[in-house]
Amino acid sequence: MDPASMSLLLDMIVKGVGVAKEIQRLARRIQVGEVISLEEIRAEQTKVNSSVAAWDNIAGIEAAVKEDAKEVADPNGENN
Amino acid sequence: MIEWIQANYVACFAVVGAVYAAARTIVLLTPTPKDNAALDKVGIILRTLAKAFGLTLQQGVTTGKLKKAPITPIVLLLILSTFLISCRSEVQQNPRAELLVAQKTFIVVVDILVEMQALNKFKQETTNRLTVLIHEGQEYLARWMLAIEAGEDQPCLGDSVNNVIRQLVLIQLTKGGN
Repeated sequence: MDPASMSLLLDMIVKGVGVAKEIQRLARRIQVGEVISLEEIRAEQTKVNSSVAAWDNIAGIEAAVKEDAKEVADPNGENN
Repeated sequence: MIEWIQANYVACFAVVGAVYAAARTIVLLTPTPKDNAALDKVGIILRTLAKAFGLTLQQGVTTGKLKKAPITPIVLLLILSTFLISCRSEVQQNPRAELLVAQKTFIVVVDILVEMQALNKFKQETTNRLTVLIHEGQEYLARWMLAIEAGEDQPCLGDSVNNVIRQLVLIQLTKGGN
């Protein structure tokens, strides 16, 4: 396995384990009756937007492709 | 940490292999069959792990030549997605938690795609398809968040996000080796 693929593989392991732990912690918080705040959800959505921006950046995405996707997800433009 | 593992994973397996060989000898000397059976199970797991990295457990005690590692990120994605789906079931019935899990899962899947794209794992056609799906997922998550903020539970948006994540993983599984 070349070093780049090895690095990707290890990073995937780290990320996979990391998110699984986060979800387990979340499950425990719910079990003890904790309420998830809207701020936490908004903060996570900001991370979603950052990840998508990183994808657009590396994939060299043009605006037209993004608009196509928005059209599929939100055909009536309700979210604009 | 990653760099260290990358540089030393063969040595790590060598240590594990040596410990396993020593344990094997000890349990064979003991009269009870229970420890033999237990070590057999451990051996199966270790052999599977070692094989995934193109090694054998015997490399812990010999100097055999490394085989080409057969594992690909695709296999790991399959394991990861299966694990995430199993974790998700614990937080269902709580709309906010379900949204948070979907966001976290989506982030990991997209981050992995970013790294695969950096390694030129996808053809242009696949990249475009992934882009449409990623933006669909982002839109669905944004709408789901607005619904939650408005105090509405919209399971159909959750289904849409999960469908997008499934499709992203499926493309990773089928096209990632291109």
